[in-house]
Amino acid sequence: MEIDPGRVLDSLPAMVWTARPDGHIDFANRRWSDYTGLSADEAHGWEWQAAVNPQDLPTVLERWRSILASGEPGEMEARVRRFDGQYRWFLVQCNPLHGDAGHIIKWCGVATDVEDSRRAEDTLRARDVEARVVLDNIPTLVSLLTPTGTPELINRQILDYTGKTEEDLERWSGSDLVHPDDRPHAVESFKKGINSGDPFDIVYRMRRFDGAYRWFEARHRPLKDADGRVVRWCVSVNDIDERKRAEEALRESERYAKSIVDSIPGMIAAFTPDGELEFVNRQVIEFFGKTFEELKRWETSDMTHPEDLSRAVEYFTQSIASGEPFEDEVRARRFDGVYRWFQSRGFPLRDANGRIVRWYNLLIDIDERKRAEEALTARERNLNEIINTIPVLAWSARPDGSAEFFNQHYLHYVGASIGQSKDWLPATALSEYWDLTAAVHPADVDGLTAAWEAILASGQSGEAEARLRRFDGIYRWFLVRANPLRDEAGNIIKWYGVSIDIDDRKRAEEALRESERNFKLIINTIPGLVWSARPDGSAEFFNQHYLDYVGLSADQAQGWGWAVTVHPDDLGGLTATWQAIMASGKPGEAEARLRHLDGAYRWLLFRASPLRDASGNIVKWYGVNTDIDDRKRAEEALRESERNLKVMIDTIPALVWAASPESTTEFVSHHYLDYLGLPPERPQDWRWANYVHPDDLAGLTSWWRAGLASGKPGEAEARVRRSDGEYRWLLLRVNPLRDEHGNIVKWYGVDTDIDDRKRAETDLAREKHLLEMIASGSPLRDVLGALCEMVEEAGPGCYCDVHPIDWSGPSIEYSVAPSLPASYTDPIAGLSLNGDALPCAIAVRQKVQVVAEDMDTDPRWRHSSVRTHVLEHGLRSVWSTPIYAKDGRVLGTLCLYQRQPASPSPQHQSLIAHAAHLASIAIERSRTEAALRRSETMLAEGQQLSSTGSFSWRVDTDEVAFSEELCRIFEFDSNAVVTLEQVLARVHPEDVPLLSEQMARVRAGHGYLGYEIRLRMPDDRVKYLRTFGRVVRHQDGRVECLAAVQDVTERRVADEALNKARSELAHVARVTSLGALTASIAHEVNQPLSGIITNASTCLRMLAANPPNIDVAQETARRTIRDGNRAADVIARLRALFSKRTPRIEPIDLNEAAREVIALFWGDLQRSRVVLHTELADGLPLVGGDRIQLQQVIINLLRNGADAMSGVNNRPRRLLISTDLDEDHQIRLSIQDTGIGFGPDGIERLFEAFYTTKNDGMGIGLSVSRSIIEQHHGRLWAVANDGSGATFSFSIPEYIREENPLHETGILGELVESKSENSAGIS
Amino acid sequence: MNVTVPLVSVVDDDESVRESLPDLLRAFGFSAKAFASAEEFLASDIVGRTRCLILDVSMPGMTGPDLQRELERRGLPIPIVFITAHRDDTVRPRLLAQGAVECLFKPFSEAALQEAINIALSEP
Repeated sequence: MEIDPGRVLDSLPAMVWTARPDGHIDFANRRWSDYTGLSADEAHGWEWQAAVNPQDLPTVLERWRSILASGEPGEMEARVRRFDGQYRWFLVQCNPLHGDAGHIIKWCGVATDVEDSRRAEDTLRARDVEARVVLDNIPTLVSLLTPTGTPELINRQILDYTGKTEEDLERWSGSDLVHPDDRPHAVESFKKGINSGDPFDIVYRMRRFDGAYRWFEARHRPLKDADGRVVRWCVSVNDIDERKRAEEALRESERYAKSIVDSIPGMIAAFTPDGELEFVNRQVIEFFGKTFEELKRWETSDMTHPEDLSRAVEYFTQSIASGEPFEDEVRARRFDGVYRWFQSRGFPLRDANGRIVRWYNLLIDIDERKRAEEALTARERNLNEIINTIPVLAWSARPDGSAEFFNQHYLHYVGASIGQSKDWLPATALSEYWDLTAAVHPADVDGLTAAWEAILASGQSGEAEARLRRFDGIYRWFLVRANPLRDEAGNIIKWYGVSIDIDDRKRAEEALRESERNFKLIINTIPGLVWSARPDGSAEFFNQHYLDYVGLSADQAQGWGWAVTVHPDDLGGLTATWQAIMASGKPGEAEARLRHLDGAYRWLLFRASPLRDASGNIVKWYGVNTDIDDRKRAEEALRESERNLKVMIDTIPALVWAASPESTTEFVSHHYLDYLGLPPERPQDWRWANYVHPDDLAGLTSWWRAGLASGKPGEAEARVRRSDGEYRWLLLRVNPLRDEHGNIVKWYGVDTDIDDRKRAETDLAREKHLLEMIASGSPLRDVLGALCEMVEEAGPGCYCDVHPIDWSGPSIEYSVAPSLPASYTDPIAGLSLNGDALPCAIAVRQKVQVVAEDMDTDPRWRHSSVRTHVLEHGLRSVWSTPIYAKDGRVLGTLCLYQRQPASPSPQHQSLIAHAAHLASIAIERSRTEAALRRSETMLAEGQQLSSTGSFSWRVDTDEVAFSEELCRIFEFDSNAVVTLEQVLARVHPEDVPLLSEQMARVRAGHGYLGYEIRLRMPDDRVKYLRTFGRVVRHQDGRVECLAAVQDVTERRVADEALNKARSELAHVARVTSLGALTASIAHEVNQPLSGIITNASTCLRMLAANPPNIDVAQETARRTIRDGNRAADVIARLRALFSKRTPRIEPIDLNEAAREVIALFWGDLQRSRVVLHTELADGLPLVGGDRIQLQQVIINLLRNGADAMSGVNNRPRRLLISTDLDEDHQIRLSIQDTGIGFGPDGIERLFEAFYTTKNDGMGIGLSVSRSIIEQHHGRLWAVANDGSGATFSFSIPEYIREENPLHETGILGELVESKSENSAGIS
Repeated sequence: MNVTVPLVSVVDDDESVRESLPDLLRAFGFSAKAFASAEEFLASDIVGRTRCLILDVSMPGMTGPDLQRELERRGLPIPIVFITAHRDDTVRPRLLAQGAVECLFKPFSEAALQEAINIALSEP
């Protein structure tokens, strides 16, 4: 069957086409149409171009044309559009079909869909790019190789490093990439590695872009597939250049070290860190003559001296274990069997991390030194032995000062062993140089240390002293000497020392010093000022006393320093004397003042003595200064006193003279000359007789002659004319001065001016006369007249006039002037003192002295009539002086007149003052007497008018003086002397005991109590008298009782009448107020009644119960009885209150009364929770009074107290009832509470109000209580306590039989009166 | 029905009343308690339990009427029987006007007391 080639071609699963030789497509199979969706026709010719991707078409056309032109098979790739519009890659392969002629007759082509493979390729490519990017960015050199070793990928780092292209690198084995020295090995290794298929590394130097080679390590690692075939090689190339170089350097250094080690003259061995011998240098081998292997076993060989081996092994082992270096000296055996000394030092070699990598042991030959040392030691041993035998304390020390050796003696001395002396510790303190310094005396350690250090520092021989303690504890002084031992080079290699016992010497020295000290002590103890000086006079020594005296230190006083303490005025003299003494070379003395420490200068006697040596030269001056101050001062004082005496005699205001035994005047004191008005130059010219009052001359002359004759001291009075011409009285006193033989050598006289005294005597006599006149009650005019005479006598030329003043005017009452005529004095009496017409008027009113020197010319009185009056009587000057009373009032004036113009001299003024004073006394006394007389008269009148008399009773003499009125009251004759007996006879017999009692009181020294007393007249009339008075104790001890006595008979009678009336009234009032009281009574009674009934009811019920409750019934019955009694008490008390009766005065024991009240009141107090205490005094006198009333008062006070405490809960409610005797011998009862008390102004008010408690019955008011007590002549008062509460007290007098009757109106009247004010008296 | 015994309190400053009255009240069949003052009663713990108060009119400190007012102020309406020793006819009407059950004058009979208490206890 013929097969259509077209159908065959159509069935091929590829696009097949044919073309003509010119390229014109003439056939395309079905696959084309199917794929492109185009018809076969559309593929013909050049139509197919439409199916090709326009982007690829130009390439396709060009390729197609080039294939056509070449006539060779060809292929191309292009994207062809599928029917759905999608382009897919196709590989188009074209083959020419040659005709028989060989020419191309047709082109056949196949287009294969390569889209999928193309896509995979793209992906792969993309991957490769990605891998490359990654590798390029890895900071190391990386490449990938094919399984055969061809570079497939070379990263950028490699390219950068080498500066070559990938192509270059592919041919690396032939290039200069690898260092020529390394290339053969590298190429060889590479080939071998690739073939092996196993990982391999190659180290080689790789050329850098700049031509430098660096070491790299190329690490090849195969990448294998599942079958284990190598699919790729990964190569990383690492720069190991630095490592390589370090290794190289190490190798180099080791090489170098080895060469050094080998060349070191010492022996060196190296060990592994665990101690195995690793290496020895040449010298070791040569020295020991052993093989390395033999040397390895050194620990067990004889290479080390047997004596040293075990120690060497031990040191070595320890160091290996600890890592610490070791050092030792060992003997090593040389190849020839000789041992030599080596210093063996081992030390570790450590790497950077501190790990030990090797031990080195260095052996240095010290044999020579060692032997030298041994020889030295041997020598030293010998030396020590020698030294030990030396009988001194010897020692040696190292250059640093540390002790090395002490000889046997030393150790023996201190009692120490050799071992102790060796154990020194290097340090600086001596105590640590030598432990033996424990033996140095503590006080010397510092000194010795310093000395030793100084010696060490100087490097020179030296010595020091110190005490060393002997084994037995005794310290002895040693001289320690040290000497340095030097080597050839001059270096100190050792110190040798000896300690020499110098104790005896030291003790001798000490003793010497001690004795010197003692001597100094003695000198210092001498209580004189001791000194010594050098031959040149400069001071050398002062004892302590001297230094203390002047307050200088020894240094300050040295030389001439002491001179500052010499008084400046004396220094020159002292220095000169001292020079003279020194020049003389003999002992001498001088006086000078020396300043004491306190700054005062005192006189001292300086005594100096020379000390000479054997050849007679002065070596020293010794001196002692003695205090002669007192003597000097005495001398000076004597001189001074002599000087002063003359001055004094001239200065004292005494008239002194001296006369020869022959009565020649030798001396008249300056003052005397002044007195006489003589010039001082010529006292001898005085003729004393010229100055003596002629009346006295004869007497004086004879007295003087008698005195001269007798030779006895004497005195006389005479008037001597003063320089002013006045004769004055002098008292002349003379005294003879006798020599040792008793002969009179001189008369001394002192004349004293006694004129004032004489005058005073005269004045006094007159004054005395005047005062006598005043005292004796002479008439005032007489007294004043005598006064004027006295004034005129004392003041020659004066006329005196005294004017008492009548102040009613005022006017001059009269004038007393005995020396002036009546024509002068009479007109003066009655002159008015108003106005300024009289000098006296001014003096009186202005209280000044008025001086009119000359009435004639004084303008003040030119127009006054007094001027004429004065002048008419020949008077010119008038001095008027006021006379004052003690209280300053002006009593009068004292006028002095003179017949010539004059003003008062001081003597006049003194006289005036004196006279005015006397006048004052006289006038005042006169006036007082007048007033007294008047007052006496008035008193008498007053007494009469008031029926009050008075008396004085001299307690000691019982003298009685009655006033006139009292005589009248007693109906005595007023002129008769009243006696006590008369008085007692008049007193009512019943009251005589009272009077006697009162008199006894006064005699016993008590005060005077006012009292009432009755008189019974002879005709049986009774007078009631009330007395008041007091006891006067006079200064002379007299006791006088002064009293006023009032006749109260009329008042008493009236009072009694009134009381009687009031009593009646009271009873009426009480009855009328009974209604009001009934309610209160009912209350009081209803309380117990209520209890009674209730109790009785209960009792019945108890008894009626079945069974009867007997216990409670009995209890209620008892209570019934008690309440019944209570009611009865109330009634009894009320009855007492309401019965009209006269209070009964009876003697009452107040304690007993109080006890009864307490018993009555006890229950109430208990109910009020009040604790009652009693302090009732024993032996109290009885009181007189009404028992019931007093008990009422006590109840009232108790109740007040209890009530005052009803609100008190914070302290005990305590009542204290006490009785005692008070200061006035009255019996006192007090009730003290701890209640609320009362304010300061509340005390008295308490007694005003009618005081009751709110709710209680039987109390009566405080005012009533007070009335009761006052009726009993007592008093009731209240005081606030120091603490809380108040105390109410009353005191009443002791009972005296027939005492003043109490009047029956007393208390009850008061009670009723109070009732009318306050109806709550009984509640 | 309350079977507890009613408590009657007595407040009086008079001791004989305080001693005698509780016994009588107990004989009546009450339980009884006595106080010496209004303050003491107020301070006790039985104020609230007291069914009837026998109260003295005049006492030191707080008086009977004072206590009555204080109880009212506290909202404690205890029936009160006043007793007093003051037979004052003006007092009784005043106290009754102020709410007291009764005012008895001392001395009072047992019957009067019992009647007053019965009235007091019968009050609501």
